Amino acid sequence: MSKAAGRSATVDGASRKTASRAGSGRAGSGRAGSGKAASRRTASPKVASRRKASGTGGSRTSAVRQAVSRSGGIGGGVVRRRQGPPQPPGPPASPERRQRWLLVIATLVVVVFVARLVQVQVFEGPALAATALENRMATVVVPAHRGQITDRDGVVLATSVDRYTVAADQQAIQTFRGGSRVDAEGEPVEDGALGVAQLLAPILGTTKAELAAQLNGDRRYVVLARNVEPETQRKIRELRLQAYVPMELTSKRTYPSGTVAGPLVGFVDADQVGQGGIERAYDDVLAGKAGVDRYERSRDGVRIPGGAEDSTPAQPGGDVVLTIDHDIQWKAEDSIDEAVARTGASYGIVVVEDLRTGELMAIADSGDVDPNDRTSANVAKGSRAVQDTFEPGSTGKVITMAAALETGAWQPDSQFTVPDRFTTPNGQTFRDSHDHPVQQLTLAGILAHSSNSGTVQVAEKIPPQVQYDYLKKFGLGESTGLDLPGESRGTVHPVDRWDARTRYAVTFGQALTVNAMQATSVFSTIGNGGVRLQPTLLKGTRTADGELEPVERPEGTRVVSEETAASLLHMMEEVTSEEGTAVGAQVPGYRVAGKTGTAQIFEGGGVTYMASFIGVAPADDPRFTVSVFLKSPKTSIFGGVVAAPVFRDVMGFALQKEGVPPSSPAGEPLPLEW
Amino acid sequence: MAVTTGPRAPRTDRGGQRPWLGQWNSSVTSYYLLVGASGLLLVFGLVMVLSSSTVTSIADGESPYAEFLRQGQFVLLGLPVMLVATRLPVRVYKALAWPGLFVAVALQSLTFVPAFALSKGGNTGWIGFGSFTMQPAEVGKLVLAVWLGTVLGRKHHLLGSWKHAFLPAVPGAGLLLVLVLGGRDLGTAMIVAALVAGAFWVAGAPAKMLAVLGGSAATVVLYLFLFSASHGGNRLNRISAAYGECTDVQGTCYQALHGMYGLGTGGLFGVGLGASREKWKYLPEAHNDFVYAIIGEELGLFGTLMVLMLFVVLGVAMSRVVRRHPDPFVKVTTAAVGCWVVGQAFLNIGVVIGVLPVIGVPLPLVSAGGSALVTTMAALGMVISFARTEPGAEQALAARGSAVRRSLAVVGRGRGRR
Repeated sequence: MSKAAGRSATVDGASRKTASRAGSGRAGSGRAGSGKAASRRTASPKVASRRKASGTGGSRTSAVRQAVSRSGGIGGGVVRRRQGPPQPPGPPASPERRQRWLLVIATLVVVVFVARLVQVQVFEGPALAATALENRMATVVVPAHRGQITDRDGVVLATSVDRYTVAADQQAIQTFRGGSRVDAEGEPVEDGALGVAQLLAPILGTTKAELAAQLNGDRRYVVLARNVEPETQRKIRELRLQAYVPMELTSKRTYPSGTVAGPLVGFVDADQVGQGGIERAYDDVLAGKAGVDRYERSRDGVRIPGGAEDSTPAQPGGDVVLTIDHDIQWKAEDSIDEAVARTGASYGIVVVEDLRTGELMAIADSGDVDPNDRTSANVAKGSRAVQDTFEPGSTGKVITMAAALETGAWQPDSQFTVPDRFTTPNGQTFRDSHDHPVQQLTLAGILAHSSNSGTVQVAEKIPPQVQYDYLKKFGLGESTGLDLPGESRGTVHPVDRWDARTRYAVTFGQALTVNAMQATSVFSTIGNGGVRLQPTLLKGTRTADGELEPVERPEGTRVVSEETAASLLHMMEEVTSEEGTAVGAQVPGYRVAGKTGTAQIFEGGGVTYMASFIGVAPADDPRFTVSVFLKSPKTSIFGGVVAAPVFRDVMGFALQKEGVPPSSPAGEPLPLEW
Repeated sequence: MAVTTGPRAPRTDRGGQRPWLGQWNSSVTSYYLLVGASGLLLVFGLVMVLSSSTVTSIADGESPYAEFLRQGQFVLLGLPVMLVATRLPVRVYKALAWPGLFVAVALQSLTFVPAFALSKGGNTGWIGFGSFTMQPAEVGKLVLAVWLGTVLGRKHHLLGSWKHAFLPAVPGAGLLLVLVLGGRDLGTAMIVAALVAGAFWVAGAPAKMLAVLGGSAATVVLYLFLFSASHGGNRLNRISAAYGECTDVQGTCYQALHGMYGLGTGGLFGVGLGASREKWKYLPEAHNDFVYAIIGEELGLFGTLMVLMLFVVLGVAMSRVVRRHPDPFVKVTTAAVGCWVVGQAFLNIGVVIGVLPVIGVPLPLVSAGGSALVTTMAALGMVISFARTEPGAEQALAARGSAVRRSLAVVGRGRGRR
């Protein structure tokens, strides 16, 4: 039958009408025959009623035709019975009609799909899109670049460099597939931890087996290496393992100058927060503001190009420009280290101050402290120049002299009879550092010889309150203003707590404590014509755009008159004269004014000494104050012996470095005796 | 023609059914609809495979075009196959039916031979010879369509009887279906079952018999896939994930959820070709089973509706062939191919848009795939050959001159006008 139908179609196939008639004829015959299945499906009440209405054709045929003709109709109005021999079980259903059922089902499916698509893409679309976007957004904290610390000329003392933390996502690594990749040696890459290790080990400088052991497990974050340099990071990035080996930008603080100014510069903790020295004092300037980078990323962590971004850039910290001069700092450290080694002292301190501005050119501590080396806690100790306090000793006599001259109580050439032991009217006996016959000394002579008994006589004409006021005016017991962490401002007891002995002891630098910076500042004040400037370490801050913002400094305060300062300076010049206590402090070509000191320190039940020399130069036009302190020197306890040579070296270096013209010849020396 | 016979004309059976289609309802309409829709889907598939696979390819250390070129190779392989298929006369197909069945059964049996068997994604329905791999079930679909057409078409007028409808079609199709089921590939098995059911249905087999057969097949499928120990949990979860609240966002419903994200992100007009976000490794099988989600994301509702409509066009064209072609073999085979291609498209789209649980079948002609693409192209080529032999089509096609002359005619006319 099929062959016959096909042939008839091709024979008269030129006409569409004929073809369809042939097809429908067959279909019709099938239905007319009896077509149980078909009639059952279509014989609904509705159809039955129509059947009555339509008079033409076989009743069933017409009913079926009408039922289906709305969706296009089968055609075959003229029912032909030339084919279709009757079959006992009944002929098959019409393929066309059956196909129509499929079309109906397909139409329903398409309607459902279109409705669902409109629902998902139009009505639920925005909400789905927002959820999806939120899931894709990655938030990464961008560490801010910490500012540099430089010396006054821009020599970098502390800077931050980019480093990376390389981690491993062990869970993701389990799913790693080597695929067609090959390693550096051309070997095919394995799957899983071994494959990642194979690629990564040569770059991280470990072995595949060792690294694979670290990569095995279920943890999502295992640090493989810290402080990885950018060059290495680039190599790892080229492996495209970001889904398995995440890397984070971190910062590492380095101190290119090493031990130079180490304790002064300080250090930072793991979170890059300043924890010592300048790093702590100016942390608010140095620390930038971390940014936040929000971006659309792929499932394996790649930033999707053209994706949404919402980023707050990190604000880099500002640079701190110190008043320190790297070279002078180095020289000071070098000299004090040498002196400590030579004298067997437990430690030494050198402070160099530009007395015209109050800027500190160097704050040197003995001992090599390298902030890069965090294996010891040395760097955490900070600078002793502001932390350690001690009795100033003889250098404190300068304040008494200043008070004596300023109040007009004495003149530089006032005459004193100075025994080696002197008992005050209130019964306190003071003695000089060494026994000597009675001397006929001028005021200058008392200072030059550093006579305690002489100083006590000078103090007789200075009321305690006046003495106290001058101590405070010179900055003793006050904050230095350097803001360095751990500063100890020393102790100056108020007058009402002075007992009979203290009243005299303070005049030659006992019964009160100072730090090295305060002691230095006294001499700077005198060198600066009697105007005290607050010492400072900060020249300015440099913002991210490179502009230097100079720091505002408080006005200086006059402590003593210019005349007093000049007289005192003149007197202090005699200290370094051939007859004074500190011949070793002379700097060739320059006049030096200064004062030695040897203070007792009571510690651990015994007594030890702080030997010091503080001086200014050139005495005729002072530029620098250099103070040198040595604790517990073994070779000699006298500042003129152990500290003065360090002064000479450092002051000489500073004067030459700054190109200070040599002094004019000294004038008439003050008479020390009468 | 019918138009002249009055208002009742459209209801008459004369050749002028659907007069509203005008000249679109010609003897070559099926042919052009098939060629057009297949061609568009094929090209569109290439574009979408390229767009959805570049990111993954780069991440795998390959050329961004790797997957696209693979797909292109298969298209280039499939095109001559398709061309030949469009020119083969009906008798050749009939002659190939029985040998084809044996080859298909043999190939399908190889999936149980360890030397050849391959497993991809938990399904064992793959075989490999060296670097060449294929899914024999794809060949099986094509062969079944032809074979069922042959055996059912030959007995067409006898199909009212259970015995004739049953033999030999049911054992033959059943054998292949069981072999496919053995591969534990539910999606492929469902498509094969739909193909077989479509063939029997359109051939006119007794509805009762189909109901019995369908019911027993469904029982077997239910037993095998829902309650078998090895896969039970997995499949039940998938089904509950599709119709219930999503509880395991990273697991069971991850793929379906990200398919939804893709469609939702696309909205009405899409984010633009190539700008998909889900393809950045979020959506598994983005270039394959879930390419429809990427289409929805990049081209929006218009893209998804367009693809759906192209499959509707394919369905309509095949329906036309069934209706208009006089040969019962052609009717049955075309219906089988239609159930296969359109049914598979519906299954795939239904999964992506969340109407059906996740069942892994590729979108015909669009998804990346080798043997599936080639056999689908061959099947469509075969249906096109049927459309070419629709009454009147051969003459109409013969009258239009060669492709070269037609192309040059357009060019020449254009020049002449200037």
